[in-house]
Amino acid sequence: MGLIGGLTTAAQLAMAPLPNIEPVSLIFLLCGATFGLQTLFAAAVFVLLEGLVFGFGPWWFSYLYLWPLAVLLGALFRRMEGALPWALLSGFYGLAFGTLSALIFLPFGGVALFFSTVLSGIPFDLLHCGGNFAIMLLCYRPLRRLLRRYGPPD
Amino acid sequence: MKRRTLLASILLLAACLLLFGVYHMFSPDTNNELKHVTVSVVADSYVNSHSADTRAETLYALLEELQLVEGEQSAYGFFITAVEGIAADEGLQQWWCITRDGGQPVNTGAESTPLRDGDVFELTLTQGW
Repeated sequence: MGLIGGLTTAAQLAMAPLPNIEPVSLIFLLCGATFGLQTLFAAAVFVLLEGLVFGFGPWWFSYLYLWPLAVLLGALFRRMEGALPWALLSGFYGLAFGTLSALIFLPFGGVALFFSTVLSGIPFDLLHCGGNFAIMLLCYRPLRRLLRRYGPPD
Repeated sequence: MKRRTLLASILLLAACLLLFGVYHMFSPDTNNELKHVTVSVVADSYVNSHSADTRAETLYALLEELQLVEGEQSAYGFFITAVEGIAADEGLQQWWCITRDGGQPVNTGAESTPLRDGDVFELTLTQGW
């Protein structure tokens, strides 16, 4: 799990120049589906490494619930098969990401700051949705097959 | 395609279109009317204020007009690296934070922040991401 967390960070850093196009949703959704809640350890490693690399700003606290949520969604939909349904799930997750991460601003800036953050983030949410959808559609089959080799039998 | 997958596809597309519509409906418009705008630069104990009557439509356009900032274009938009020649030291996790009206957060980049008459912005050298 530590290795998955480290590799996920490396993959995220490699794709960081692309706005909201990331491999993390793909990895945590599919690892969640294959390894179940054990993947939360990988998510913890990833979140900690992100903080160490980019600093522990307010955004970091939203990672404490956003990436575990991806793992839980993966575990919840573990019986779902096919690239398109998984691409849709990943797309929904990407689309909701900005709104969910803005929740962290509610205690500090109230509803006004929450809504203005959500509104200004919509173009990035749409990119996130499209990126997640495309990456999952492309990588679902090879990655799911690879992970199943190491995961428990279905 | 299974019925459930088809339904989910339609839902995702509808959600994207809805958000696109909301963004265009509620995002503030820019205009090229004459407006009076103030920009304060704050770096530790250094404070300097610039006022301008401008037809610039966005904060970025005004900052360029005043030749106040240096920076780089990225996929996320214009990233301010220096203001009045004072560079943010990435090694110290420094960055230029944009706020308005005495510290209210601005959630948009300089390029997508529209200007209104009477606006007061602060560019503050901030440490810690």
